[in-house]
Amino acid sequence: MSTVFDGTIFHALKRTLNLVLADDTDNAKAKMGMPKWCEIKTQNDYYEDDLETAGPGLASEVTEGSELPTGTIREGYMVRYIARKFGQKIIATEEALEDNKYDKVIDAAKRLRRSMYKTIDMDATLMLVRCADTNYVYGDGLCLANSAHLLADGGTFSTILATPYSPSRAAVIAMTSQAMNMPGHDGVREGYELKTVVCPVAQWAVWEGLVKSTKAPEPGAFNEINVVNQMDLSIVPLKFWFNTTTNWGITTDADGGLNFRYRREPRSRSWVDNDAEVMKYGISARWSRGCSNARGILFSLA
Amino acid sequence: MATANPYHYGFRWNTAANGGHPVPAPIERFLATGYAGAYNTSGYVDLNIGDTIMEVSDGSIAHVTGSAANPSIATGLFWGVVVGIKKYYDGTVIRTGNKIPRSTAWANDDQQATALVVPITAGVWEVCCDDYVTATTKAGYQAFIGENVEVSFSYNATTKLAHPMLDISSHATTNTLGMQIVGLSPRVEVVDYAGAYVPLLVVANRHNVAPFFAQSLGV
Repeated sequence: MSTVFDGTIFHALKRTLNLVLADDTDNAKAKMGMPKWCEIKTQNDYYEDDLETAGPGLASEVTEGSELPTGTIREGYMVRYIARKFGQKIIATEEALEDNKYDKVIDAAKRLRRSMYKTIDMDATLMLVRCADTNYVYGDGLCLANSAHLLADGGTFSTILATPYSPSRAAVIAMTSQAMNMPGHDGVREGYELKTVVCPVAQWAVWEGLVKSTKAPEPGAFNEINVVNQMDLSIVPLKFWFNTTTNWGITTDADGGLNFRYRREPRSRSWVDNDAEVMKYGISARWSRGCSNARGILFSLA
Repeated sequence: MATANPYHYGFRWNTAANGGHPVPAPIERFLATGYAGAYNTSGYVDLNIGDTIMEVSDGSIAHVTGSAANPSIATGLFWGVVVGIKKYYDGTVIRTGNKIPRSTAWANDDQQATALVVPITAGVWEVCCDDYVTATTKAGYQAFIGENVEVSFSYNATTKLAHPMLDISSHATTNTLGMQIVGLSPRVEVVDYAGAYVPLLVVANRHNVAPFFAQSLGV
């Protein structure tokens, strides 16, 4: 924004304050929601490509003495991860640093770390925010939540519930069945397991009851077991999934699902500009994020 | 479901313009004694960090303002942006702070109300738009890049803030408009182009910072 001058922190120039209020800057990394639903990886080059391969499908019945039929392998789509750089700096005059009486008022390094980790959290969540936005597509040219993701050998599969549900046992049962029926890369039914519920924060309470009740939570059905409880789902309400209160998704155990790749984890620096006698605190990081396998998450666009 | 983007006040230094020094290098500029603050039908406002200023013939500075008929739309020549406050006299002691209250009077050099101002041509500035109906998509905002736009004010008589923003509905190629749009803010927190307060990056277009003056009106 602009430099931190004495005037910017004018209430901190004398010891008169009892409590300095600021956003909590401690343990910024640990507070991120992203690692709970995204696989974190390291990226070794400016760009990385993930390639889908498929085949050979199932075997054939063979007549005795005849040649074995030939199967083959086909390449599917490729997803490219390009490292993007994010950064920010705070400039404070030496006078402001000398005169400031409360560490917490400027505390530039910690403020920047908080800023960066929240940026990471938000940037990752944008994959969900934009899950149905056709401006943001992945390897097969389609957005994450799509009813016609492409199979390498032709054909399609869906990552959305055909009938959108609000959070309920029936919804999870329908999604589980869809995941179990989902085709693998070769187009043959493979089946995946649901892992983590991701939802806007407005849904946190309903998911808690739904996942953690041992008995079916619907009125009048308390003698039935809650199958959702048996699935060992974890729940991650996401504060940055801001553009809906009704959509939700559940990640699966499919390889190459939603992932976040650090090219460089946040790196802090501080340096002096002697011309202006200002102290600069900077932080930057490089990462990419995406999804190499749309089977990694199923959505309900309710 | 449109979501308001975080609001940040006024003109914010983004990067140096024209390869300048990457620190907003401020110049001390004084306010006339008793400077009443900018006024529109909502009332007077203080001089705050992030406000745009113009030069006055006595060497002081004042808010950029609009016309008497339409005070909410800037018509003055931009000279700079307030990035800090050096000092002002509150009637008892010399203070510093994040604003110079309106009608601050001073009687001598020590008391002179002084703001830290960066010439508006020095930087690329980030400023929020004042409506979210003119454009509602990223592509819509991108189409404005290269066009000019006027600055608007939304005075708040209680907080005494002028709230300079981009009057985005005025976007046009008209050469007399105050700013030129050079880009969209790259902030990650800009999450919804259908929501309020989309920030854009602008450079000055109608200003009188020598030697880059756009209109040679001395004051």
